[in-house]
Amino acid sequence: MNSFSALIPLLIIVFASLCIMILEAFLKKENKDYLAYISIIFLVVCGFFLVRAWNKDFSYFNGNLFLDNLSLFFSFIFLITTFLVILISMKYISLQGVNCGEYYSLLLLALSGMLIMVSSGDLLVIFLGLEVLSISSYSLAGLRRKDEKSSEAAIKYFLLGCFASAFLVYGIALLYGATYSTDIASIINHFQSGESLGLMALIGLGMFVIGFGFKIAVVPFHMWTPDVYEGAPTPITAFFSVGPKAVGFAVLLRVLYPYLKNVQDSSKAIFLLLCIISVLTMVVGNLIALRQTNLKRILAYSSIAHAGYLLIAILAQDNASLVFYLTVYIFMNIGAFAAVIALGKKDKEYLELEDYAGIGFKYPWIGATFSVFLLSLAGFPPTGGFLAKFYVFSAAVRQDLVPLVIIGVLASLISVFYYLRIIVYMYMKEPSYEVDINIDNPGLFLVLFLCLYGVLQLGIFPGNVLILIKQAVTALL
Amino acid sequence: MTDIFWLIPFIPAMSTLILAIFGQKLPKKYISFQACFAVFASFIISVISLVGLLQTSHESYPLVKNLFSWIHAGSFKADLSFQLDPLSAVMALVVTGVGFLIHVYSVGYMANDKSYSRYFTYLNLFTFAMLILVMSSNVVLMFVGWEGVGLCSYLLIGFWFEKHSAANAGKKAFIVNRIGDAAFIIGIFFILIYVGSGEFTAINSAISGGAITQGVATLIAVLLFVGATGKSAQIPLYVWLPDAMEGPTPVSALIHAATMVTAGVYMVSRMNLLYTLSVDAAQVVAVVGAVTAIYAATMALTQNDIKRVLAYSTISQIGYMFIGCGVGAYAAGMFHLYTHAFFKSLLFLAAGSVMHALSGELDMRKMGGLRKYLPLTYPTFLIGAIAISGIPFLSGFFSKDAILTHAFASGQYFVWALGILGAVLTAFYMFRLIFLTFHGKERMTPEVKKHIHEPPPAMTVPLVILAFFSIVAGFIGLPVVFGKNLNWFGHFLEPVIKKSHEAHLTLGTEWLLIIISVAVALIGILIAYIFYIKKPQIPHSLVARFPFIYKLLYNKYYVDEIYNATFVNPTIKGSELIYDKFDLKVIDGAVNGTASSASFFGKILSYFQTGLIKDYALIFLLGAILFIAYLLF
Amino acid sequence: MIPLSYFLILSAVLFVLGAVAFFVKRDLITMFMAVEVMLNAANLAFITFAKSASSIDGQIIVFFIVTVAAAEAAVGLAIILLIFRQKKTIKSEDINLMKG
Repeated sequence: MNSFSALIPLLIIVFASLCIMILEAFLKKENKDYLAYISIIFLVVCGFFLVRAWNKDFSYFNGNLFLDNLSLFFSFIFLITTFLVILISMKYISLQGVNCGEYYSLLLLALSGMLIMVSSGDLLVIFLGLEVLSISSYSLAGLRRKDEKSSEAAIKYFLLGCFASAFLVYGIALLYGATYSTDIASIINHFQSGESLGLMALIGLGMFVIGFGFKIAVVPFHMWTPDVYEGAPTPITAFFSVGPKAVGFAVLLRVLYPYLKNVQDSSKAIFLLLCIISVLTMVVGNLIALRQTNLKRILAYSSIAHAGYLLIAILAQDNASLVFYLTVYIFMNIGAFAAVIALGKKDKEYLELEDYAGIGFKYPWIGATFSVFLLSLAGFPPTGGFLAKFYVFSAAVRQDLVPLVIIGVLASLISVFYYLRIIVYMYMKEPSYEVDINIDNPGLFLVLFLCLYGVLQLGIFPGNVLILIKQAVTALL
Repeated sequence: MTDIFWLIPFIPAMSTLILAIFGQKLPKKYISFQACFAVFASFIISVISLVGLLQTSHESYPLVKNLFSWIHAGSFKADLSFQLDPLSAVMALVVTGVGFLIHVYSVGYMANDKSYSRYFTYLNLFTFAMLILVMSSNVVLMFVGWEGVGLCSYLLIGFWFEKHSAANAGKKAFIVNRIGDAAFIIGIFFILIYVGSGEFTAINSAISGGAITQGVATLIAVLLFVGATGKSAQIPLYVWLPDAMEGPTPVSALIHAATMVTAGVYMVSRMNLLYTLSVDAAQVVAVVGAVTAIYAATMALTQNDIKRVLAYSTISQIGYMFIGCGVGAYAAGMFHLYTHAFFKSLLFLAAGSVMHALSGELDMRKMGGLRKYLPLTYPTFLIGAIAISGIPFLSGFFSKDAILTHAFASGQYFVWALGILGAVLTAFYMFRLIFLTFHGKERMTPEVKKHIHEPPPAMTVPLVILAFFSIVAGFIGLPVVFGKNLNWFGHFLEPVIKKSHEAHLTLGTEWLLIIISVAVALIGILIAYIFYIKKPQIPHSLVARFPFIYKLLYNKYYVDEIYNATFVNPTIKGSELIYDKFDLKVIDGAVNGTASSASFFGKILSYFQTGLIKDYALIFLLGAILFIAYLLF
Repeated sequence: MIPLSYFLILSAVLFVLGAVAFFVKRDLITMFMAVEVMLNAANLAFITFAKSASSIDGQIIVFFIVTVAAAEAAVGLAIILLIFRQKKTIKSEDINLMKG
């Protein structure tokens, strides 16, 4: 249905972002919490409109922007992501010298980019959304202006990101040349009819996948990930590890699912390449993670490995399990980062494994929730991480991707080692020095408990969410 | 009126949660109030649901309430859904009704225990798990309850875990039950494979639709029954129940007499179509039940520990219930379950009150003549003993008679004979217990004697109520000799339980059977009277003449020792051997080797992560070139 | 009339040159300019295809890409300036605090 309602959520977020930028410029307050509250209010309003649009299939701009159930579901989990990130940022930005109002503004702008990406079927619009997201992300990564690591993260992210964008744009250009369209549906139609320009279109699609491979951080396009994650402000790292990754998978789902399903012969090459990438990603991500001692780098490599598992879901063409995995992943990863952020005080973050010795007894809540998130990341029942992996792997087995599943299981066995090592440090090592932290951080504890709830709810009673997800993915059929 | 029945398990769950979180800080008075009230509220809702159920037409049975979907994996799905039908209504009433009385009793019994809140948390948790077991509408959720009650049983047996024997008994119960559960869960898997769903309605329609062949039915039924032998303490997995008496006495009454151990009987009745289809499996059930009934009764003859006698008696009585199920008289089995819940929990609670009076003494050789010290406990205990022995017109008489009549009617004369023999033994050991405890010479030590007193009202009131029900509970299921349509209980269960081939006995035969079973009960009591009141020297001379038999019985046929020698010790030895030779050397070596080589590869791979943008770009570019090259060629 | 395929070949050559320059050059600004060359290669391809299909879409897309490139330049130069203030250098090999 053509309706202005399709545009409203996006407008709200963009308006909120601009609003905050102006407020920040005129009200020069030292405490920026009020900006966070304003953002949250706008998020809630936006969420309200999203929920209202469920099952309505609004679209606008001749169908170039639409809110089908899949876009709505993704938009909603991005709202939740941003909400959680704002909550963990509030204390952090004043403690760690990122105390600037643009922070929230840029975060909302990045969110608007993600909303654009999931609610369009046109490659050009998706590209524009991606750039809105990326350019805000580059600035967010460098917001700790006094910290050299932060600037380094920003420049690495920026240059390599532009480099990948160039591949993406060139891919779109080739697809356009082969099909004279940038609309996903008509491109797929074109593939199906099997024109002579098939090779150009195939390379175009390949370059498109490479461009997005950078965003979702799969091997060998992942090299930026650990450095950027380490250098960026930690809440922003939490955001990077879930937001751009989830949105990248959402777009890949929209493009690759119909492609792999409908185009039989020429899709074999892409399919095989994706299998290889998936294996490389799982193996390399987990192996390097074994060697890390910095928590942010461990989680960075873990997020690379998770991209590999998620790729299996794309290959198994089980959309519901992919979306479920992403949902669980958001909660467990943000939860883990929240626990990492909790260990900090004025101008000091505790990020080394050594710092975590004995934390489990000194700060039982942080230790316990962090352990749950780590167990979930490792895939232990009864957490959501277990069910997510279980669904993905069983879908892959149904599609006869048994070798991929075996490698996936072995890779997650390796991952158990470094996740458990953190728990071992927290509970079984004697601390050799004092780690005192600023415990007065209600927003962060709220996030810890929300994520704990999310991980356990999805692990023990996933029924309702699965029903929603099943409704959402019907948009693809 | 009936749509609130899902609250029945929900209320104890909430109560458990509150007690688990805040229990340490709450005052004892409040804890006792909340714990008892939660079960009482469930009981009231059960009664309301029962009334509602009676007003609903049979066609709409079972009423199902699907709370939400729990697991969806491919075609397999399990919901958190409850169902209400006559079978689950009866069980819910027994669990909450008897459970409530035992909660009240516990308030008095556990008054001075330091882990008061922990006790009631477990007890409420148990009630919750048991209600899940009996009210779930699919086998998967039922298995959750099945495991849940097992866990609570383990926690409560080992409640006084400072005591070595209690901790060991808990472990034993847990491990023995695991063996049964392994078979049970395999049975569930077979159901899921062959039926495609765990819902009881789906299973029943699959069976009546002929989707399950007799062979498959036998396989599933026997696997499930192995699970039942674990939970319901039947041969060969009964060994944990006598040791389970290490737990607090109200726990023995609730879990190890009235409710949890009868879960197997409930399960078999729930799956009655399956056991009707598979004649072989039903025969196995009947024979195991009958053999257990008499075997456990013989062991009860020589025990001196008051609770252990009752424990063997429980095993034996559950054997009777399985006889009922095995010969196709599921209603009779359930009826015995229902009456047994009253008189056996009464016996346990009364035994608990004896213990309470004697400062924790359990050995009957150190009792005697308590009749005049415990004027309330004695008659209630006596009522329980008369009920279990099968004297008309107490509850146990009707239910046991129903089972034995059906066994006879279905032509299982061997089973019937064993049942009758068991009845003699039952009457004998129960009255041996009575005479040794309440009659005869006083054998207490003087200081114990000084402290003998009746327990507080919190303990005596439940005794009286249970005694009342032990007398009257049987009148809702009168045998056919008293009139055609007086078996109200059987009619009530009919919608759930498939009518088996109704064997018709003449009224004369029925009367004969009743007279025989009454006669054997009286004979048993008479022998006990002669042995322990009239001529107390007889038992001693018997022991002297047949020392082998006495030793065999006294040591419980050496089954524990046999199990230890054949299963437990070899397992421990073997696992030590494996640990030494295999685990430490091969596995650990392999694991360490894998870990260090994984770490080595990680090190090599991290060399590529140089931190230089141009190297990152190079790898990106190489990857892209390979990617596109593959597409090109 | 120059055949359209010439433009396409030019565009491909520009793209490859840009990609090679990106990892050969050591100066952050030059690296960024290499990316701009790659983006413009894509622009050239778009215009060529638009011309061959005589459709206006491809030409409009170019405007979007130019705008995006401008936005990237704005943020990118700001980040490079930040680096220069901190390290007094914009050589890419001097930026490797984080590795491994």
